[in-house]
Amino acid sequence: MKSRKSTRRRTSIALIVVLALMGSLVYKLFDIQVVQAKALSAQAAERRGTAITLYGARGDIVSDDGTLLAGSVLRYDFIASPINALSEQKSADQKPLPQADALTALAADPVMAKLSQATGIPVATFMSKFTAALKANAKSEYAPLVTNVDVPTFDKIQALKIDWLTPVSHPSRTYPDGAVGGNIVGYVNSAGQGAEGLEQQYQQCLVGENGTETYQRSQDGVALPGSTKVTKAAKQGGTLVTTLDADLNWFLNQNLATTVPALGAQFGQAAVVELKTGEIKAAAQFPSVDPNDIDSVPAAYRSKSMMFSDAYEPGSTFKSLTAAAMVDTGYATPYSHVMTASSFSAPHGVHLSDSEPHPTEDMTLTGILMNSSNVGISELGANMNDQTRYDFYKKFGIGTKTSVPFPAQESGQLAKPGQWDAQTKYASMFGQGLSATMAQMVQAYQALGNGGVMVPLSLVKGCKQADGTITDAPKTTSTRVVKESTSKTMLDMLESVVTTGHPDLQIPGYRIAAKTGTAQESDGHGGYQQNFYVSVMGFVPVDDPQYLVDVNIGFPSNRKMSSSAVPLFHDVMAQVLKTYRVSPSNSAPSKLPTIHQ
Amino acid sequence: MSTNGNTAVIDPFIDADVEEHPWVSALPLPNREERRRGLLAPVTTPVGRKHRPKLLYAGIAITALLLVVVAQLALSIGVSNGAYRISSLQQQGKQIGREYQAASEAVDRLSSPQNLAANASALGMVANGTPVYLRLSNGKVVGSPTPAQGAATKPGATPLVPNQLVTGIPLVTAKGATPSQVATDAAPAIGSQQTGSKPVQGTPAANVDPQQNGPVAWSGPLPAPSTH
Repeated sequence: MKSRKSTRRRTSIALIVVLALMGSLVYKLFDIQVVQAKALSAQAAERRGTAITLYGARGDIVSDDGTLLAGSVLRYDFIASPINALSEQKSADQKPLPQADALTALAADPVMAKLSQATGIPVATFMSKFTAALKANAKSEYAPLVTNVDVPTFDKIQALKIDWLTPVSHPSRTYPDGAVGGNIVGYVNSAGQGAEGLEQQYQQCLVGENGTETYQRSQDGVALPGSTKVTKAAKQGGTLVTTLDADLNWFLNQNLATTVPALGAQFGQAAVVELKTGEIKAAAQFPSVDPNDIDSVPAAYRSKSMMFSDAYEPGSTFKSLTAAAMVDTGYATPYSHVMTASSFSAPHGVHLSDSEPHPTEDMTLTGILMNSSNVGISELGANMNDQTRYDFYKKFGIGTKTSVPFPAQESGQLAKPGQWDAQTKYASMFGQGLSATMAQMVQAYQALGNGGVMVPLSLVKGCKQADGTITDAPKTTSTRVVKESTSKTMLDMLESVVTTGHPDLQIPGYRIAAKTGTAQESDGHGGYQQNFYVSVMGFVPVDDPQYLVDVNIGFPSNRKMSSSAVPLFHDVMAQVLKTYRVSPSNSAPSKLPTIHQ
Repeated sequence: MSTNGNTAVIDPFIDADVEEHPWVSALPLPNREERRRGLLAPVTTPVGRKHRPKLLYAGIAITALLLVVVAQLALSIGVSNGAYRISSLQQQGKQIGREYQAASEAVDRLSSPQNLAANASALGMVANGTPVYLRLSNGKVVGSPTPAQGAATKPGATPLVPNQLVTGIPLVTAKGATPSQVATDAAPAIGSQQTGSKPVQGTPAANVDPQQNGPVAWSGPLPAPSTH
């Protein structure tokens, strides 16, 4: 009995001890594997692991249909180890050569010729890099021989199996469509940060964040099973979806590139806007920067988008805004008329004239717009309240930056009526004595064409992050600038510019309303330059306005009339109609009288 | 233990025997010697039967141990084989990633408007500025059909809208290397310099059977644009 009891006791004691031991082991195991796992494995990885960078690529910039405008790629550098390269060069009896002889031998090595052929870099350049590296450090192991090569070249160099040459990859930026929308898209600096245009404006959205991964290397370079640890996950940059249509934008770029030199002009810009959404479908300029090769254009056109950064005196296209103010307030109707001569004088030394002499006629407001008569609009608007007119200009967005987020945007100049001198009171009616960027003019015309409702212009639909969220969506609060009836009246009046004034603007089947402009630009010394800034802005189709086209040509020296920009406008408009499948008009053109009967 | 046969009922072992085998009570009472030694005495039964199971258990334990060792060995071989496989697949993944990058760069380059326009122009195509539509519901021609004006631009001119990436890509009308080949293989070829029989690993375009560079036959339904 006794022995059995003691056996039981001993067994249970042993059991308790074993259980206690096991418990403590399980506790410790849990503590290490679960509770402290992260900290411990990080600590271990830090001490023994090989760290590699996980690239968080900079996001793409794409057009509205997903065409890549800017993308990230990997480029490769090849780093040579001069000391190892030279030690491979041996004399005939397999003895190491002195450095100078080894360099000569290396230069003659067929592998150098092959490397030169693969990269297109002469052998002499390689050798000078070797010499420079060795001069700095006789035992140099670092001489960057080849930089920034693409995959095909990388493969060719790798195929040479040069053991003293190590590839290093780094992210780089590519712009597949080149100068198409180049000044809008912008480019990155050497550190890969957005330096211009959308690349700069949306740096926050586009930037990726590199992560790191560590693993333990076995002797033959393979990661030990289970040792791979992502110490920091990489964050891929967001995709910036723009409103631009790459092909249409190319068409604008291409036609500017043909027209501007043919007219002997200095530069040109063009834009297409969808009236109902305010989306900028195309924004081109000439010269346009190729972000792949920014040195290809003069510095003046490299680091800005003229559309947002160049304010100019808009000239005759501004008359539409004045006329809209007159019609909206009831001050004038399309039939309001005034005897219009070629020139006009008023007290306080005011003198202005039309661009071309014409007989004195009893022009209606429609006729004044069609003929783009400075005299007519000045006489007709002379008694309108200056402040009212100014308020309308303000409502049209003149003197205020557009709501498009874009770097280096100008606001133009619009002085308060109290500061207008006698000449400016009149000149402001036809767009002189004030300035606006093309973006501002486009915004004003957008409101004019869109039933009087201003929808903020937008260049970007949003930034799509890797997790699917959309940020940076544009503002969409629209405001009414003029009455819907005013907008319709304006379009009917401006249609006369196409039907009567410039038949070259017509496209069969479509009702188009447009306004030409020949703006004089300040010469910087209080006077005006000899050459003009010619422009055409117009809507299509008049019965259901959908698109706004604006073309500007800077200082043509061959043909100085406003008609210089007409063929360009016509071609761009036709392309817009084709691109967006705009159906032809169903109604007959309005035939408002241009002369009072 | 009880020393009295009558008290055997108390003993559960004997009790059971008595109940099951009533004739047991007829047995003679144990003699003195037997009483002295106690009722129970070692039985001279063969010991093998009791010990054989223990050997079996030991055998099972050792075999299990061996199995565990072998399994662990096999597992560890499997895992390290896996590590090599992962490593080689990762290498392969990188290579494929590079090929993908090269190919997509080439596609982007070839599909850039500059390249397409230059090729269209080289083929004699002219843009028509007058859009005309056919209304399917009533077969009516909408718009005013006008022949395209102007002539195609001279092939070979540098694009008016600069794009460094398309330089050097030949037009489809040009003899010699196809544009896709040039685009994927932008740098000068090593070709003639290759010596020995060891094939040099190149890009997909370089490895492609030259016969496959012609137009690719379309299989399946004809692609149609999505219209509204």
